[in-house]
Amino acid sequence: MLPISPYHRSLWVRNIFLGLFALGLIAVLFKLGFGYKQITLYKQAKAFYEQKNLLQAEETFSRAHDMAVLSYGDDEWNSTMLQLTAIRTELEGLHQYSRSAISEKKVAEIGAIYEQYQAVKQQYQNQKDVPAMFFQQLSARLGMDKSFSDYYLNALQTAKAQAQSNLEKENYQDESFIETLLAIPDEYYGGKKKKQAELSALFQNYEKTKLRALIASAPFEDIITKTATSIRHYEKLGIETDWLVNQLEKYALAEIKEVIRSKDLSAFVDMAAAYRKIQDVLSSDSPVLDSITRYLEGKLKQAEQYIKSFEFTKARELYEQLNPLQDTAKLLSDLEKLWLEYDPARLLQLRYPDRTFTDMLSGTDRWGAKLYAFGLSEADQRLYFAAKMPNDSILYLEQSLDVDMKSAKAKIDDTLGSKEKPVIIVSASGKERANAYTALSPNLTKESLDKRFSVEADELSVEDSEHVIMKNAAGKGENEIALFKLEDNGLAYIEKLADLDESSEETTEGTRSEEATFPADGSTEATDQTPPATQKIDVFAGPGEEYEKIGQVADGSFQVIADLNGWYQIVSNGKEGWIRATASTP
Amino acid sequence: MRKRIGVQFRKTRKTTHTYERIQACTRCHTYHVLWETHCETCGRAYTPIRQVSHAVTRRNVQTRFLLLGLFVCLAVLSAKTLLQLALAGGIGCVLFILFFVMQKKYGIYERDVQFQHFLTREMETLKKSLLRHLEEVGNDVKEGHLKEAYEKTREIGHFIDSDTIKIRKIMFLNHYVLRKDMELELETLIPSMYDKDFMEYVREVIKVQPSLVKKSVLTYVRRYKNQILLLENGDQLIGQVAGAALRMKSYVDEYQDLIIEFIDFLPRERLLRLAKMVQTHKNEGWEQLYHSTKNRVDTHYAFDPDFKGIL
Amino acid sequence: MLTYFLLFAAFLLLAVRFLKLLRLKRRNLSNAEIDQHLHALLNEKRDSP
Repeated sequence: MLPISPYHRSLWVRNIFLGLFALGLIAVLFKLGFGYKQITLYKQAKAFYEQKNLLQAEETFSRAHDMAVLSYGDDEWNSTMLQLTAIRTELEGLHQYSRSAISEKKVAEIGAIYEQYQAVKQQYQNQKDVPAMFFQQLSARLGMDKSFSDYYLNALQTAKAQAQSNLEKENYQDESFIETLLAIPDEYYGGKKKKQAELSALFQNYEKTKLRALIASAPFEDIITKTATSIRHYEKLGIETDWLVNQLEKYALAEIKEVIRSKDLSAFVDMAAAYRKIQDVLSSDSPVLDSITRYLEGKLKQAEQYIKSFEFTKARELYEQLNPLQDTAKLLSDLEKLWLEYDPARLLQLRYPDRTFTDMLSGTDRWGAKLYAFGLSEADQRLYFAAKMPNDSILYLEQSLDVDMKSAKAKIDDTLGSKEKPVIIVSASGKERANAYTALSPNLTKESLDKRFSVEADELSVEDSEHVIMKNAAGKGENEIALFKLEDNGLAYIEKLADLDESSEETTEGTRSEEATFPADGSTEATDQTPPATQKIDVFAGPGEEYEKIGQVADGSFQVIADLNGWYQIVSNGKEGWIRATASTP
Repeated sequence: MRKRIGVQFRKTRKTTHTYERIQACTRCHTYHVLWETHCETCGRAYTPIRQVSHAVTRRNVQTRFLLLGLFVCLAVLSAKTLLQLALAGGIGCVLFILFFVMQKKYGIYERDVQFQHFLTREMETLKKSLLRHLEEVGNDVKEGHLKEAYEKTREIGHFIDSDTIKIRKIMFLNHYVLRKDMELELETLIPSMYDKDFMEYVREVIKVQPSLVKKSVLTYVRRYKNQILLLENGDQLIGQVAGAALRMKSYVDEYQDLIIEFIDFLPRERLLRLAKMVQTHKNEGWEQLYHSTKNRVDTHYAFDPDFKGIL
Repeated sequence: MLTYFLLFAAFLLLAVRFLKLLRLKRRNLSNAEIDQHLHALLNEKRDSP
């Protein structure tokens, strides 16, 4: 049997079409109904239009147009009405924005909307055609002019009051009135020029009063930071700030000079550092920055002078103080290097600052080290050794010693071993014999301090690079004057040279322990002589002849470290003073 | 020969066209050609097939109307201006009226053609329905309801022209005593080949209703006379058939040879009629028949007073 | 534009329908022909049942 008979199929098809047709018919009825309504609305709009009631005409037209069932009416009139609709949409949008912006007090947005509104207004002003009339009617109905003027007049008053109250309360946290005042359109000041003049006067008055109040109450750094913030703020808003910068510079110059005059270096450094932080608001030829730089350079030169006169501590102190102003790390490390070269014993002192060393020895260019120093520490029975290697690393070695440290003395014997790698011999009073000798050989490549031998004898003298002669050595060679060879594992007995009693007088001359180990190379002593009196210049305690005269210097024997109003601050032989700038050219 | 039973057959409907016999069940989508008036499965009253076809045609026309209406609706809906709207409405109305007028005027011609198409489309279903009827016949035979079986086969026979159906009908009919009031059939039963049972049936029918012997029967007998002669009393049977042919002059005209050949087996009363006919039309090409008849009369009925003076 | 197109489509529908009906009228089928057609269809293949 077939799934569906023609009889049923025809029934179904007919019914489906019937349904579709019914839907179509309903749709047609709707269309006719809406079309009729639309045409009625069009006619109504036209009637309003002829009565010059543009607002209602546009509203009715817009309703009809939104129905969009049919197109009707003449095109020219329709396009006019569409133009009106566009105007209404724009104006209503602006109105909406302005209301929400005013209620949220978003100054910038209100300004932007006001400008847009003014632009639109400009477009329709002084015209007599339909859009202009419509614009005027609509804008009057929406009351836009009034809402803007209400807002701006109110804002103007509030902002001025805020400025006043800030000054009175000396509280400058909220300075939003600046933006507000700027955002208020020119019309409310009576024109662009008047606005500029009024605002400029207002801001200058405000800032000057504020600066005065700050100077009276706040520290230097606070003042300059706050003022710089204000300057940045004004610059961001596009306001000329030269007057405020000038004020700031004037104030800062006075303060800096004052602190230079009072020789308070740490205060100078703090102020200068703070001032340099606000460099971005200053002009490139700022006199304050210049004088800071000059004074700083003078101070650095002074430190160099200290170094030249081996007053490393003073130089270091100066560098450290100047560090916030200028990165002196390099200078400090150079200083440390020079200092070490000057005094290698500092190697040990730097490493073990709380130890006391007896019998410290130091020198250069031995065992492959640039500098070396070693010393004996009685408290912990040790010999400490420090070496600065050619690659500037510092090697520390130590060796415990089993000797009487109270009497212990260390020396370098460059005869034993080689000239470059001599042996360190520590001699002390022995237990069995008069003396106990311990020989150490630093091996810097292996970073070890090898003990070469440890013997007791009445006397020990070095014969040559490999041999020593001992008198009455403990062990082999007792009661003899015997020759020993230095081998890897100690001293080896070679032969008897004489009996003890015969040669006891001769060998005493061989001991040279008292001399020879003090380094003679880096010790260029500062010659403290006064230079030959070519031309003497008077030195004062401050920049001015009203200050006390503290002495004289010869021309060329000093360093200028700062200049101020025709006076140079100088340093000579580590002492500071002031001279007339005309007196000398540095 | 089996014993024949006397029985009264259901009357069969007389229709001008065969399709009038087809009834349709619109619910089950089946067809019925028997005498029931309500569907066996769903109980719904049968509708004549022609009515069903006409209903389908009517609905198709309605669908066209709706389609046209839909187009017009869409046209109105898509109208942008008043002019377009008016045009769409106006032209739509005109088209609608035109369509209506056209349908009124020519719609009637569509119905018959659509009916023919409908028959073609429904042929499979129709054949299935006939097959179902044949199955019913088979069941009836199994249960011994031969009368029912015959009646159904007779109805199906109106549609299907095949030997099987004919032979079955003959088989069924040979079970019964034939009477004149039985609406007997003969012509519709002639098989395409020789069938012994058919000849038996002819023998019985001639006794009851010789008027059923028509041209086709005579042709059949003439064609298979050799086989018929092999039957018991075959010559007499042919004689009876030839006698029946004497009802009409045109038959005699056509089957002269048969009559002449089996003139000896004509019953007396038939020979008498023949003699009268021959006497009337002897000059119309019946000379041979005349001689044969005269000869037969002279030899066998020379002294019969009824024949006296005829020839 | 669409309106005219749709109206044209409707008109086309009408025209096609008219031509079809006209053709059917020309054909003018009789009941006997239909009956013959039915017999032909019924007996075309199935001779067996």
